[in-house]
Amino acid sequence: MRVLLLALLALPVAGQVAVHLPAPAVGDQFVWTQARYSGAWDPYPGVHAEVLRWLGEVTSVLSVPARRELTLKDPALFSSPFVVLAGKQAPPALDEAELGRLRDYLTSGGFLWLEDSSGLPGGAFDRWARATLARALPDAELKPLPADHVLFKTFFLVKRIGGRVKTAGAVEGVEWGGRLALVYTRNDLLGAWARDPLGQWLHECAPGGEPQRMDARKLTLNIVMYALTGNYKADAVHQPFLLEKMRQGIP
Amino acid sequence: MSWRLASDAGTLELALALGAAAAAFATRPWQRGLPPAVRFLRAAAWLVLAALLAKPVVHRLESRRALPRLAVVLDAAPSMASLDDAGASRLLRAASWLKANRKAIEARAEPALYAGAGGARRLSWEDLDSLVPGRVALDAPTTLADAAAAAPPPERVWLLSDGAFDATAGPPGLAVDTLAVGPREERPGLTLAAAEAPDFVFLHSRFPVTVRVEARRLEGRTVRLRMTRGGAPAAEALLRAASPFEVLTASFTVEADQLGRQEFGVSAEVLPAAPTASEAALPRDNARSPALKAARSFAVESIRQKYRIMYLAGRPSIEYAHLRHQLKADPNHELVSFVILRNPENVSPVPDNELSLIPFPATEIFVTNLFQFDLFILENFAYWRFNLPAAYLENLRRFVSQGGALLLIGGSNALAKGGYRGTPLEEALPVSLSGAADEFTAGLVEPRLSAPEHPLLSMGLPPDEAAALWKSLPPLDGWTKFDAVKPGASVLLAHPAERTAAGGPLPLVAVREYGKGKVMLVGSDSTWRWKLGGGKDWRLGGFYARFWSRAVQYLTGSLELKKAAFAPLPDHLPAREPLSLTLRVFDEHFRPLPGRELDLRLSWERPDGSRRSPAFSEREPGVFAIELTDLAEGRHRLFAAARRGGQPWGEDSVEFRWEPPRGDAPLDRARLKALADASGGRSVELHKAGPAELLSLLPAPREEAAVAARSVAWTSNAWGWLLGALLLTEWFLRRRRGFL
Repeated sequence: MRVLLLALLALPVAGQVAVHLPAPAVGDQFVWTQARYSGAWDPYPGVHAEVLRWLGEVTSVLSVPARRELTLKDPALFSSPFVVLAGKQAPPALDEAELGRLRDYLTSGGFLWLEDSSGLPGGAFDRWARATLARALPDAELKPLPADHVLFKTFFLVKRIGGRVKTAGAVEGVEWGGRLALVYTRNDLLGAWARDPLGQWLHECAPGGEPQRMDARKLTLNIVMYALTGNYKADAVHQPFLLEKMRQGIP
Repeated sequence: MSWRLASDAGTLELALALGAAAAAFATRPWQRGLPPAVRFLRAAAWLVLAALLAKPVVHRLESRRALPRLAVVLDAAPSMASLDDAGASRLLRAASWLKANRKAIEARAEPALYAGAGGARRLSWEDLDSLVPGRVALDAPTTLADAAAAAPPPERVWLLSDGAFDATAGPPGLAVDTLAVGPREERPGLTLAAAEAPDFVFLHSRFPVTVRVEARRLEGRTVRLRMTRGGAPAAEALLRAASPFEVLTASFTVEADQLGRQEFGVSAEVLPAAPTASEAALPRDNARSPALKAARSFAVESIRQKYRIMYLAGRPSIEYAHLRHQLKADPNHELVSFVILRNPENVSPVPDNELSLIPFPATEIFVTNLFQFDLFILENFAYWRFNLPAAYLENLRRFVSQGGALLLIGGSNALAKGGYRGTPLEEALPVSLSGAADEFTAGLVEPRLSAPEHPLLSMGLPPDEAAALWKSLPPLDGWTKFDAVKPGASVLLAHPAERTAAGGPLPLVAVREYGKGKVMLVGSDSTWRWKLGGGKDWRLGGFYARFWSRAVQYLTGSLELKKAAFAPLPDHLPAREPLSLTLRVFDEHFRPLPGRELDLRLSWERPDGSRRSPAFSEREPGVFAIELTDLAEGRHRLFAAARRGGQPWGEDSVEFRWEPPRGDAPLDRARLKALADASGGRSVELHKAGPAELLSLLPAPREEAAVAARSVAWTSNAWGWLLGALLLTEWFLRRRRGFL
């Protein structure tokens, strides 16, 4: 009885300790980390597995099938170099400590993909994202990435911004120290990946249909590949090949 | 006889005179109503005033014959006391020669005599009788500049000297004829007068080495010049002396293929007779015995300009993204990187022209361009996957053995899993690879410092600070098993618990020198965790960049290079003061480090054991000139210590032996000839030359109109009276005619 009581008393303590433990070891594999917050932080549960499966099929990247979930206050944030923060509604406003950690994370090499899944122009998530970034990185600017940005050629040569919807014609990003520290998409890219329990696409992609879905999938992989290769495809050695492919035209 | 009008007025007075003349002209319109006589008187008064201000002078000129001005400089340095084979000192012989030829010289030129030492001292002809050699070596640039600055300036200079000085150029625009004072009888001889090379060169650059050999009485003979590098033959040239005295020059081009100080030797030997082409090709032992030889050495310091890095990664990874970014962001790196984005077994969901993939240039990487790089990085690259020939890895092994650097970063596709076990490259690694199926294990691991004093781990910090820094790092994720650590390899970071199959510490980071190159092995590809850790702990900010920067420097041999370095001294120091030395201070990337970022201290230990702090100045950013004066004969040592940000940054010392000017210095015809040639003059032997040859080089005497007398009119009081009379008369006339 006494042992059981001690064990019961120890449970919440163990739970608290577990939060502060380092992220699980993954070796040299890519980990899809998703930011958790109070509210609808996971608009498309299971989409990460779809993305990682395709990533493994078409690229040489090795990844951990299970995703990592953490809050911005989690110590594992600084062991998670790729973090997705998605939502259809505005997450709660970040307090000063969270803003500071977000700033430290982005400026020390972390990569954050902000995904507005609402599909609405100027929605609550969009307002939250812009206000939060203005506070977290006041000396950096969130701005549209030009069409020739290396993000659009890290693996696929992306000419169109896909997604479940066509809310925005451009991907936005924040440059820090010569690299993209943050990418912000608003066309609900992850929504284009979502499937129902029978394996059918959960949403139609409008107005472009399946080509628009394919564009969303390509851009998603390019974002992951950017986190894993940086500005590699901007190196001069690639340019003649890429220009020739561009010249041949992309459907 | 002729006359010439001149003026003694200065600029201001001439301006006032012009003003007065202009006033006479400008006031004409206002005087139209006045009587002509008044107007005339006013104009006359203005003109008289203008003439007074102009201070006119009348010169009476007489024609005369002007001789060209000649400065004659006698070297009065200690070496001019040498008697040679003449029974009289060099200085006395030079003075006697001048006195004997005084009449001829004065008939053709207007000479000004000087004694040369630290500067030029004017002499009379009578002073020549009492002139004795001094204790100061000839400072030829200063002495010749002094003589050239005389008023009126000379049109040519004669320097009577034995060439025991340093200058090889005279004052600009002034021809210097040199008269060599030395032994009458000259034996065949060979002197290596100079081996000129830059003090510092960039690695992989090509630099010239110019060798000058003075050949005396060797006309028609062949001189073989050999240059060695580190004792090994590097270049050779055959030169032929055509005249009794000749300075033979050979230029070699050398590639700086190694970092650090490189010792060169130059030797010259005279072959008994001109060799035929086949004789020249014979090995040295088979050639006919050389009769005369000379040799000297010099050193060149080779530093890096850029690190050329090839980075090949087996697949996209966070490690690749961060390390590539780190290497690319450093302006001292020239990075070429390739990462395998898709393996042969991956499917392609779209046509190839929708992918940004390029062909994997394996041949270019491993064969064609391999030896152009300083550092080759292989990260988690599975060699077996691409069916590459084993010869590529043999090439990589050769690259290291010949001085290249190799960095292997582990992972689940690297090392034994990557197909390197049993290949030629394994021979170069610091470890024996494991055949275990679970060679790579994921798992958090806090590395244990195995060699904290190693320069790569010390991070340039005091030991306790470096240890605390390493202890505060986030753990790595994953390690690789190995069979054993090879002899001669150093384990820098080890797994705290795991062991090799042989029972030794399991390295997480190990290094080894292989041939002329270095290999570094990192058993985990998760050092990016150190970078992100900088966001959590401010003390770690910059650690990742610093570690990899030092790793590149260590692997490429730059970490051991001195951050402060004296320029190599010649093997024969000039016997004069001040003695100039150069110190360079570099930053971590071997760019010049300006003095404002440094605390530089110098200590000079003299032959008697006393110490001084010599003065120095920053000639250009990072380059410091040190001038030593009051030198004493014997061995000197100069020590420099630079501190940056309060921390020791670099130090160097140099030793040299200094000898004061010698009384038996050999006659340096080469230097005298070089000085004459550089200024457009002629070099002759004093005991062979009469003055006529050199006097004929002077400009011809010319007819000049000299001023025999000056008549100064403007000082006469009559001008004042005349001006007063003109103004009084003008007033009287106006009053008389009612114009007041």
